[in-house]
Amino acid sequence: VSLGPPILLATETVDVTATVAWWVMPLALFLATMVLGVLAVIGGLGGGTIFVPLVSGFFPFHLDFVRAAGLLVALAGALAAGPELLRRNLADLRLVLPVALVASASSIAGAHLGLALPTSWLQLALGAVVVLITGVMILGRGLEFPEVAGPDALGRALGLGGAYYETSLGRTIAWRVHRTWTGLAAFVLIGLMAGVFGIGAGWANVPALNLLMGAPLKIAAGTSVVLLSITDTSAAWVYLHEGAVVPLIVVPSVAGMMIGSRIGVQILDRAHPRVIRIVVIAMLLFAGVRALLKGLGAWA
Amino acid sequence: VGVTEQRLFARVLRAGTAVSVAVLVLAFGAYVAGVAPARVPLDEMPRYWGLAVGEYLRQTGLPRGWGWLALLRHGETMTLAGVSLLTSVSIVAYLAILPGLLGRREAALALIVMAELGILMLAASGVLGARP
Repeated sequence: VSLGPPILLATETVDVTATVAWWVMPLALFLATMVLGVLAVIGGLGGGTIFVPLVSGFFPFHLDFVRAAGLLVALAGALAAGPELLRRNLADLRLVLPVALVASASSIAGAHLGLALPTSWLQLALGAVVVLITGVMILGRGLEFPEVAGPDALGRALGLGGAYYETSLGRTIAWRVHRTWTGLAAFVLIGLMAGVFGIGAGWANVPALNLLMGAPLKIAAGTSVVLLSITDTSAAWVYLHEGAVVPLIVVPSVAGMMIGSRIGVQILDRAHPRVIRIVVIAMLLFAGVRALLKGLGAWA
Repeated sequence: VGVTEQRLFARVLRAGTAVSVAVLVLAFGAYVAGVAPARVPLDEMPRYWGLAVGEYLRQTGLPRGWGWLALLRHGETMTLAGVSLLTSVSIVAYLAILPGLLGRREAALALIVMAELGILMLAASGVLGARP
């Protein structure tokens, strides 16, 4: 004889998402990342950067799996865009090589650190980093052609510099870098953060290459993309070996972001980048504050 | 790094990405369509994806490291093969440009490329995080 629905004790909790059909969340993730891909392109933000804070904030997946998926989303995006940037000389492989060496080594350390830290600490640190990212996005303005009086000894020894055709000016721009050692030190930290949080590090790569090392803004942006394809590779292997790559989370994310990015490029001319950028930054800020509060135990 | 190496690096990235994404999509399609049987039943996955990775592996019995290679007939591990191809593309691109750098006696950059290959292969080997 049925006595009606079971009564839950006050101390029991039910994960509602665990009772829905298995395909609902991956499908929702695919649609959401497709929208994120569109917003990322129109708002001029890295898809990998916005993926982890937003997906970890609004989906039931553990942060370990979201960070692994975030790295693979950033990696797939970088691998898709990198070849064309290299072909058009908007990314410079000579500049990528030394920077990638330090960034990829530290991203491995970061990935191990991220998987060893308690989730609450990670939430707290992620929240702080995301708030920092929104600050960089709001305040950060790159220099199109930074003044570089002369290359430093290391930059000269490695021949870090080149030339590209600047269509807006209709002429070839020659460039070189300075403060190479300081730049490499910055990339140790950037690689570490990429590994810990699984976020694409474009938001930090571009200012480091442009404002610190003096690469022109277009070269910094293009080189940053190719750099991601190497930095994220090393960290992604760590997550793969640690069992944090869940196909039901990774593949919809990668596919959604790639399709969304293509749609974003198609509708770029008709969109309002400023409005979309503000919306995405507001969403990021909300996700960052939420992660901070979750880390502090103030948000259930 | 000359124009030749930069173009070669780009070509390898492009081709490698195309192959990896194709394998990834086909394997995932086989997994969710049930053509390749799932090691962990799909309808049980919502119970596990909210767990931390250590607990997830303990409860599902899925392996760490290269253990998934022994389970390649399963859909989720077949999909991991596509992921591992994607994470190998840069390694192949580095291998492709190394002979050119050595041939032109670009010693400093050749050393950097060899060091990077060492780091990437170390990460890919799984030695750093090896646990049972």
